[in-house]
Amino acid sequence: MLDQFLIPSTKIKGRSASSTSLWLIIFTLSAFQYSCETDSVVSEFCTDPLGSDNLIYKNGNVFCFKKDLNGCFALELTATKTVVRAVNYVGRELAVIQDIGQVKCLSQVKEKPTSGYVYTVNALLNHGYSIKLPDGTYGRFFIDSWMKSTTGTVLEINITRQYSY
Amino acid sequence: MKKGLIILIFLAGSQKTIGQTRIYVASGLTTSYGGDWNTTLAKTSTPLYVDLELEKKMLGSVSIVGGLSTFGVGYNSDDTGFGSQSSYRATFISVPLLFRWNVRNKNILFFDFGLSPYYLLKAHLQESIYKFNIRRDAEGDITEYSKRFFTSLKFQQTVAFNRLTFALFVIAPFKGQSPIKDLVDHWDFNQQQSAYLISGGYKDFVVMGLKAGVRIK
Repeated sequence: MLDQFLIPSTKIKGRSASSTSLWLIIFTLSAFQYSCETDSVVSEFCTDPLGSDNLIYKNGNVFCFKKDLNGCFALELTATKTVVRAVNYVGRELAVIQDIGQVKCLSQVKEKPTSGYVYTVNALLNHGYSIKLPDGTYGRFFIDSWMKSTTGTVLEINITRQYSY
Repeated sequence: MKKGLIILIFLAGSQKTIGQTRIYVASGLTTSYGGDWNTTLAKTSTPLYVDLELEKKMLGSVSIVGGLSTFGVGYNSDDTGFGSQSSYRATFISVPLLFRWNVRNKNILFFDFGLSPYYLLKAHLQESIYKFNIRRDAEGDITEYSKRFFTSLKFQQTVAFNRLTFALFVIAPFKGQSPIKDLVDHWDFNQQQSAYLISGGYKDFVVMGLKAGVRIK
């Protein structure tokens, strides 16, 4: 019965070609079983840029984007406020910041807006921020996640940041 | 599956045109060593090996052997000291072209040596890192972001008992054939996070295997 579906038989030293074909079918089906498996293709992704670092900050912590320059920001995490504000150390021009909006990761903060920067912004979960330093260079950070108290106050902010971009 | 049927039809058709030819089918197990990871059979996700060989007598005790074989390689590394946890498996199809020495022409012991170009059928990568003490995972089919063609040397020693054959073989890809094409632009982890990317992909390994088969013609 099976022979009807195989290659037309030709006798080869007493063995039928259909027997050989049967082996070929077994081989081929075995060989290609792998490629029949279903597997999700990588399609959605968001990769941290090279040179970025991951830092955890608490209320009052200051993080800087460039040494010896006003490139620092402080976190104010209280029951009523969750803000990031520029810090001035030496009385020169302050760095400024702009909320780029909700993004998936730091790589999606691509823009370098020329205007619209302020000194203080609300820190929002999964938002990206562009910062502009007094020397005209740019940095960026992303609020990846945070830890809140039972009362809803943000205790720690997990930031991925990069300078410059 | 369509590719499989095309090859099946090709092989089935070709058997009628090859006169003085021996055909072998065999299956066995493979494992891979080298690169940045060593694996054992237990850690290799796709150790199954299947092959079909066509042997054509050339001169005296020397034959030429062609055919088709599939094999799998992979690793599973939980070491996060240098990059992410990483687990990889890949399946290849190869078309070896070997010279076979039939020792003393007794059809008992054979030594094969030659080239074995191979083609990536499927590659799957799974990795994870801890970021802010939270586990982040990346997993998926990376075949289309991988290079597909590779070249290797193959050595094989076969012992035959009538129609039954038992063989030990080594497939050694040429050095420096990185499988990474543009995965960097399509993967959740960057070259500082992904152990696979840091290592330039799974390369410079050696495949070793055992197989048992039968001469069907």
